[in-house]
Amino acid sequence: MAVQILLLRRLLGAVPLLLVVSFVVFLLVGLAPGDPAARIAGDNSTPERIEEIRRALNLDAPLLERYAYWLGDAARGNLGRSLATSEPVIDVMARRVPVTLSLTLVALAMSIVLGMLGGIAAAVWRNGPADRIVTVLASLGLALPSFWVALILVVPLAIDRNWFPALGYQPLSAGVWQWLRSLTLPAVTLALLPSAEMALQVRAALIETLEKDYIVAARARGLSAASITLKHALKNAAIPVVTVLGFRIAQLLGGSVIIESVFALNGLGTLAITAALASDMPVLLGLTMVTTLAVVLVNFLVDASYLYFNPRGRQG
Amino acid sequence: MRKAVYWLALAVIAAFVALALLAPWIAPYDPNAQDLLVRLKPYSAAHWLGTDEYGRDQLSRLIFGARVSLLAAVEVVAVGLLLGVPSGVLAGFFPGLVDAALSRVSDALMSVPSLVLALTIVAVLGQGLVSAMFAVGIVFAPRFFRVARASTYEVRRETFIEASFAIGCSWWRVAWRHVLPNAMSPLVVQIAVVLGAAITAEASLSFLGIGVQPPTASWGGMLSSAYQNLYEAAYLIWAPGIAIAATVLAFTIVGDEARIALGTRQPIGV
Repeated sequence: MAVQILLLRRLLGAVPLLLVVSFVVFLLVGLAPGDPAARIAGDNSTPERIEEIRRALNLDAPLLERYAYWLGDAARGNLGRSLATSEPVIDVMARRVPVTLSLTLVALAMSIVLGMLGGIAAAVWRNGPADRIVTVLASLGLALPSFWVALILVVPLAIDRNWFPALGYQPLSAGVWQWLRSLTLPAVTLALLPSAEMALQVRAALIETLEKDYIVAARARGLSAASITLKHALKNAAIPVVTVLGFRIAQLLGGSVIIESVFALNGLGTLAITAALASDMPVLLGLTMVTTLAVVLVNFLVDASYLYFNPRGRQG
Repeated sequence: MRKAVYWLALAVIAAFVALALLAPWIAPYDPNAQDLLVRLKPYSAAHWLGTDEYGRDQLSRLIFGARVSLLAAVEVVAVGLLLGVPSGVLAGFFPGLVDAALSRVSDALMSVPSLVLALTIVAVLGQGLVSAMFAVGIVFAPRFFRVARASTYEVRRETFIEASFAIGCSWWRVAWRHVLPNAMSPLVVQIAVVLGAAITAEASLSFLGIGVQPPTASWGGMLSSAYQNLYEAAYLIWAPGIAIAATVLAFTIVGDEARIALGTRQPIGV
């Protein structure tokens, strides 16, 4: 089958996933015990406010009907209005997307570089000091809570010395240097977990590949160690690493919720916290959809690159 | 060397559980007792780990915080198992429409970033430790679902399962007596992993002010107050952070050791 058709089919496969996600979240909201309008309005609210919320969310209608309405609007790019500010959810999110996008992209780049370098070094000098260091650092990276590492880094680098800002985001329009400076500490802490996992995965995959017959054959033909590792082994070792990139994106987007709040970056993550504290369901539903869409899109790109790395997959 | 690390990890977990269970008898002070005369004081003989902005003893809060972490971890695993295992066994037994529907839901839950999903569920259930950890339990349920589904699917065609059905066992009896014991070892590994992850999740949500509500002591909440006093009393970040990291690391090591001992392979990315 042609690669294009295969990819198109994968892309269309994302649509039911998004439908299921939205339906499950809708169901969670609908099935929770008690009067949702009263709960969303909070403890000290007037009956008028509760009624207003009930109308805004169309809570008197049956669940399925409400879902159908929401879906129809969502398909046309209307995700409703925030209960807290009455602003369209799309506008609220659009304003904050650049922050989260910058943060996750910089963190993703960092985790790929760190994870790859660490994993390759550990696999090539297996059981040597480099391997030990990478494995121990990676285990720490898996266990240390990212927001704690953020606090540890902020004290010497942003408070005692003025090397990086402790709080706030500088847009790209303020200059690449300022932008990068405001993102360095948040991105490093956010990249901690994914780069640790990636390093361990690259290490395991590369060690397995380096023992394969064709690598032994290449070595027997007298190819240099660097050429074997970088040209022959790494391409095959990349498959399991790239396959889980979608998980990494979900991880980064989830992690950015807490990192954004530590560094006071006004992105989607801090929006999620504000919305959760205010029970702002339209905003949370919108955030769920947008972040899931991002994960799905990355998974699609991963599938596409998978076909590049592993031609066997092209047969469908 | 590996064995030594493993025993050390077990010791850390034992100490953690002991602190949690014996907190009222071990803690030198009432964890919520304020003493504004000694607010934000560094380590001293009277207050080994110093005091926070209300003059509360950090060591006592750390010890009582272990209770919250243990409770949170147990609740997350319980919710995850209760939601994930029965549905997983069901999906493994009936690989048609039932499996398709349940697997779609599981895939859907796994593709939403975990904290975003947890925050959405908390917004529905309300704040506080119990509902926050219920939310995290839902987030982790797909992991248990996958393990239970895969193990059930594997033994479904075995002769002893067929035989049980042939002598008239109901399917839930077969599931309980014959399928689940076979799924036990991968589940145990998954439980160890989720226990560690749940402690991080509790700390994260309490740090954000969505989990445990003040003044109840929790490790995440302690880090949150350390964050608020970062310029005056940066030493406050150490004790709760080390406590979280050591406990999570211990659960990870025990999980890895269990995986090696039980010979199960972790699917990539889970």
